[in-house]
Amino acid sequence: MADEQKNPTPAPTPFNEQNAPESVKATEGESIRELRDVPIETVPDSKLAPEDQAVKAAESPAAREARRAGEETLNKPIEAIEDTVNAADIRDQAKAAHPLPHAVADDTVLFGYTIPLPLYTVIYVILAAITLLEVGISSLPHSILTTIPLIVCSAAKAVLVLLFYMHLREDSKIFAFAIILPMFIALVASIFLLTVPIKGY
Amino acid sequence: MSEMSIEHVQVDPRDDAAAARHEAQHADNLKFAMWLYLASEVVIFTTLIAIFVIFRVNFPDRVEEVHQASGLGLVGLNTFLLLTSSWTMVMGLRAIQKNDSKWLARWIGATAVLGTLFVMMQYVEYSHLASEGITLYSDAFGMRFYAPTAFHGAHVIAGVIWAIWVVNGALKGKYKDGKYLGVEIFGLFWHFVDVVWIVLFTVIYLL
Repeated sequence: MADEQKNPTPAPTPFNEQNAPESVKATEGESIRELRDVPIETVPDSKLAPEDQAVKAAESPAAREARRAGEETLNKPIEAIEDTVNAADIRDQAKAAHPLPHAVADDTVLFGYTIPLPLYTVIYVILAAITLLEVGISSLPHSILTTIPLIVCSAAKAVLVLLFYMHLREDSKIFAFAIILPMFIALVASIFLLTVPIKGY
Repeated sequence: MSEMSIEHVQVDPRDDAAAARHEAQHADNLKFAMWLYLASEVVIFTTLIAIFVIFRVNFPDRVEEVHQASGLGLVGLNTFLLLTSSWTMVMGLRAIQKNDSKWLARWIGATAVLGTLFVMMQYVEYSHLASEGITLYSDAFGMRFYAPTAFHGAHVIAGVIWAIWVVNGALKGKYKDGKYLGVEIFGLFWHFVDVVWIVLFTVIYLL
């Protein structure tokens, strides 16, 4: 126990390409299935070394079958790991190729109802409807009761375009932050300016 | 069994996955650069809009007079042109996401046409306002009105030129096989121009 404290087991050297053994470097980029030995019985004699041909000829069919069964049993967990890794890679590739699958769909589900129009068209119809509403509101006598709905309508349209047409809904939140921060600062600055009387104190 | 060399005929899927991840990272970097540029534009436009809002709050009668003189028909139509151009832009992106270069060129071509019509209508509006005596130097309103709307119009003109560039690329097959990042970046610019107009329309013409 005391010896262990004096001479603790050294931490394993982290793996990297430089300190990898030559045998590992040689296998870089190959899949597990490719790295496994090829079943000798599947290789034509013309491609086998003489000693391998002798091994192949000496093995009885029953012995070969037993050997293959053992190999298959051992290979199953390795193949399962490889299949899992490959499936994850394929999902990554599919995500990179089609980042917005809902955007290319021919219909849109809105509040539980399926509309036979693409999402972008549905958003356009909503934007146009809000614009017509705005024009209608602006024809009323101007007061705080028209100003607030107009500002709300305008903000709603801007948010719809930002979220759906500019894809802020799916993209990194840092993109939204990059544009919201200057908007917020400018809004605060505008409120400051509005507090300054035009004819002096 | 002994070691044997076997010719590999299967491509390792991990190479494709790594390339796809690298491509996605590259796309995110470019998009973020575009968002930072748009953030700088936000500062400029917000300053111009804030100047108008302060004038609007302090001189509501003058703004009301201009509204009476200009009317809402022309600018309302212009708003629909720009909204529609945003729709055609995003439908172009949808087309190329389906690897359809021909429809990408058509939709973005429509975007360019709508943008051009918007600028032409804005010229008509400016001419009408000038005939009513509302010019850049006629009074305190002129500069506060023309600066944000003309600055926005300049962005539409730049967007139209960019749209023509994208159409040219689409016709040459530049954006095929998932390589449509250029269309997405242009889309960010065009939709931003639309968002700015949504705010300008409400602040300058409706309030």
